[in-house]
Amino acid sequence: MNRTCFQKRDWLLLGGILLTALLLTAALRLFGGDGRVVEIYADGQLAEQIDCRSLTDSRQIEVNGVQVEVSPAGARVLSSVCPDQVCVAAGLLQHSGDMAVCAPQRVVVKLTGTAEDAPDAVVY
Amino acid sequence: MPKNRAFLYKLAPALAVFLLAAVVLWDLLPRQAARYTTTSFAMGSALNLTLYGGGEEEANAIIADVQALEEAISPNIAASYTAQINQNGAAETSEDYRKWVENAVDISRRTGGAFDITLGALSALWDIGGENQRVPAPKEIEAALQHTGSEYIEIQENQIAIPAGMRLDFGAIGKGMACDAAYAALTGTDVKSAVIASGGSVLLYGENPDGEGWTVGIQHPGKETGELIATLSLDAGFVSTSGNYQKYFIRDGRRYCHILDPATGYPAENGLTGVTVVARTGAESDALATACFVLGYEKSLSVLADFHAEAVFITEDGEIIPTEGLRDKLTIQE
Repeated sequence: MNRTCFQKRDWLLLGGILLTALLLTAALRLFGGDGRVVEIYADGQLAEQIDCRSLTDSRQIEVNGVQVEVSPAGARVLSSVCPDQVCVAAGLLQHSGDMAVCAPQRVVVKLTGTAEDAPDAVVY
Repeated sequence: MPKNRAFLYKLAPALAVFLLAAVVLWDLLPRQAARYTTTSFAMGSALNLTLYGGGEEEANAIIADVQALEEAISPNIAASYTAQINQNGAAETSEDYRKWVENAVDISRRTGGAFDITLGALSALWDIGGENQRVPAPKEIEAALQHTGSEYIEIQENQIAIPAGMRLDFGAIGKGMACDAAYAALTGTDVKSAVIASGGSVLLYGENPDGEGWTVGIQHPGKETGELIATLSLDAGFVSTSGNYQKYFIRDGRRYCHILDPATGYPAENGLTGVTVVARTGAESDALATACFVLGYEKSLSVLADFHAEAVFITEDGEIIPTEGLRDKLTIQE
């Protein structure tokens, strides 16, 4: 009677499966990004939701007089009819939780995502 | 082929699929813990809600309460108590409104007037961030200062009255009050943990489900949005920041920020670019952030102690100075 159920090739098979799983984990961590999604709110309502990973080129959207550029790198307010231009000065939003607020036009551009190292909140 | 091996080979594809699925789920699940997030607009800024253990119903209740607060205190909403008082010099108000004004007057007194809700006329004169922003003539500023001073607000049984020319403005405390309203709305619900951010004021409610405390980033004053200068590791509480780096204008090479010093009528200048305050209530954290920015580091310390609050000061030289209670909770970003 053969007491050893698993022979060398069985261990190789199991090892191969485990190695594939580990490589997949590493690939997800390295190349999966943080699942960035751009959300554009107008008057407190979600007006646009765009997954940055679905884009191959930049795209421009206008909401309430606020011109937003969304690209694989993130999002930025290109221009706004508001007087203070705080939203434009916010620059490129590229981390989860980054936000550009145009208070006069009641527009919020927000980057959501799943980055583990993102803070729970940002004060500014 | 032994039976066990044959069984293993039959099982191999299923095992492979199971393991790969487990890996993908393992990678995703910790990042997507049961939480509900949404964004609204209130108090002139974004209202961001992240709820753990709750959902749309609780979020909508919070948004409704914050919007109700805005409808009561915003000077830009014609039907608000504040607009009525500003227009008519007096108005009958709700009991809540009178308590909010009482609280603001108390904070004003305890900060030596560095925080003041009676700067409406002065703020309108500068209109920083508005369409008519300008540097007013010294005489105009002097005249506007004649109509300020929280001690002149009359809080009566059913109404609030102010002297002629005075204008109430909750801009330096409103977002913190929104956090207090959110706290009240959350209390007694199934939501065990939450992060509510009204502009630069944040409510940290309950314990972070990951068990490691809440992490609050402090925006770098000189860099793009999302670039942090430091992070704070905190338990439940309220956090607010006031700074001179977002809302300002430049005339003749000089920078004029939106935080006005009630003593001079001019934008506050004390060598600071930002102050972050951790306090027991949202109103206190927001109002104290402004007051500390106006007072500067040294004069702020006794005020913070009076309110049992802590703060992080960021100077124009890039120095980051925490008060004693935040020293071991602060991590400076590289």
